[in-house]
Amino acid sequence: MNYFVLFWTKRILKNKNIFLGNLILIILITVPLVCSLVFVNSMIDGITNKYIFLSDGHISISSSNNLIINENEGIISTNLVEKLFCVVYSKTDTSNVIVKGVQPDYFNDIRSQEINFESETSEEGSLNSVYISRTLADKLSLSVGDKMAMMIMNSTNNVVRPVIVKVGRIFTTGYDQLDSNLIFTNYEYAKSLTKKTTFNYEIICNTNDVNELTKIANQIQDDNPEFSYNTWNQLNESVYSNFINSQQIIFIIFALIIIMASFYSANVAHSTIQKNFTAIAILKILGTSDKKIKQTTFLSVFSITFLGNIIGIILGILLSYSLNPLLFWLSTKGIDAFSFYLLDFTLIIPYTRLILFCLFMLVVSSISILYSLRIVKKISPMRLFQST
Amino acid sequence: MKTIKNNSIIDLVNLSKTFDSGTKLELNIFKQINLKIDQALSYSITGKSGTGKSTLLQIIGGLDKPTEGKVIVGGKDYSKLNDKQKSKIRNKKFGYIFQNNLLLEDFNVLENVMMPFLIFGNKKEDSLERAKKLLDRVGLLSKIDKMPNILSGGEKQRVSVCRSLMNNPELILADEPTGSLDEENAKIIEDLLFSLVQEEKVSLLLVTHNKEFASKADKKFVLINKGLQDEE
Repeated sequence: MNYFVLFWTKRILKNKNIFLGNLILIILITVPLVCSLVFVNSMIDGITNKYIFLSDGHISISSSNNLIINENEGIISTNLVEKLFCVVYSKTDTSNVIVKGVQPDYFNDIRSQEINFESETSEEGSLNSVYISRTLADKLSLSVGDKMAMMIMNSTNNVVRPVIVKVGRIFTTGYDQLDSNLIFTNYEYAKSLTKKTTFNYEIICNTNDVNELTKIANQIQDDNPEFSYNTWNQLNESVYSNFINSQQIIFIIFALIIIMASFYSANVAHSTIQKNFTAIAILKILGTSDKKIKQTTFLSVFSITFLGNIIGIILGILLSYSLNPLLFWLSTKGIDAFSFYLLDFTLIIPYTRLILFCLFMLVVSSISILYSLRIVKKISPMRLFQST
Repeated sequence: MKTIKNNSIIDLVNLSKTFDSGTKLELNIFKQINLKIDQALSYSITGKSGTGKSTLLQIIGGLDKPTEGKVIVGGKDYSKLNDKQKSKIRNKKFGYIFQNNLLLEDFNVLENVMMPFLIFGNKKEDSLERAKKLLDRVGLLSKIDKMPNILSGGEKQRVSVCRSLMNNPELILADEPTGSLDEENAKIIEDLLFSLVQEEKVSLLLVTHNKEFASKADKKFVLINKGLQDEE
């Protein structure tokens, strides 16, 4: 790098008004973008995991026979489940729910990360027990040990009949949409209620990738010719497509904000030239080429954009760590909209996307700065003599 | 001047300048000017206000374009050169002194003097000795770290003289260098300018309305009736 270019760039950057003002603005643009990116990614990943681990598994299989599953590197666990739809009643309210019968080993380590059980239990007694969520317990005014009526339909003879169960435990998944319509009970009891002869399996795999899951399902199908399966995205098609659409829309919004920010960078470059008009004209007289002046202005404005970007990303990531408690605090203020958010999620920093976002911002800024620097060629030293 | 050579630095060939007045009438400043500027000689151009003395100097210095004719620098038509080549000529071959000094306000005295050297891509340390020597020669060594805004008019012009000589140019182009100075300071600059160009063995093209100042040059011209006439 030419010494003069560095020397002059440092001088431009020493101007606190130009440097700090623009740096703060770039940071103010970058921080919310990074926070949003982290939030959306964490939220989508969190909700996806809730649906996969507690609702349907990565692969859901329905088979008329017991399934033979050979050892497969991609499979973490296989569990027999039985689902039925019913209406639950209490003294105060009713609710439509899915009752999911699971075996004792269902809540393994990986699922336990997605669900929190309150310490109080009531397993003893003649009534079959169910696990309901804190959301449902509050809605139906139920506590552990309380009785609850379920109106169930026998799928074989289409007869609707009530059964009485007892609240055995109360759980929270952190996602209100799931909590409000999911109940767990033991597998044998659920099976006795549905009286279905088919076997339903939930398979947890080590990937969320739909193509990989299809490969695993096809391998199982090779060993078990007669069964149907669905991957998690097929079972939750609306959720899955909403996530994909949300991500695309967010990327479009980000791109637009970045393009707007780059226009600002171009404006900074333009105003830097305007503010240094006399100096640039003098430098031209003294033999500075247009190229060097462009290099200098580009370097100074780009340095601000780059530095602002890096500081913004770091601050954005740090700030993201307070998203979880902030969201939880906001949810306690009675804002209904938060029922659609996951209030307990693991923060995921999407480094690849952040790098892409950063590169995109720098490339777009560079192009707009270079475009605005065309003005340098038009600065004539003669203007100095005309103005004096 | 001690060393007189006949190798020309600049050749002006049929140089004309016309200003568009905004109407159908064109303002003809000067026409068909031919002049050869040789090495290590001093030239002066005088003339009444508005005769185009400064415009002629600006064209010679590559800051303005002639309407017709050519400025030949080092055997090449200046107008045919690209921006990089033109910049290199302005930096290496020419030194400029203007009536209003045109110092860079954000840089101190030393940095202003070193600037032509830095523009060429050299490091600050490499030019310190020469810059200090020049500033010492004009009596400003004690003010090297001062900013231009606290200097007097005479001091600013002395800095400007040093800056013009920094890159060992072939030609100093001086446009009314004493025009805004009082008599005492004007005299200092006059003496300094002629003695320095003599010491540094560079050519000087001086544009001034001050006939006494102009008379010190080796070759004297007057811009009159839209043409350049030899005063001798």
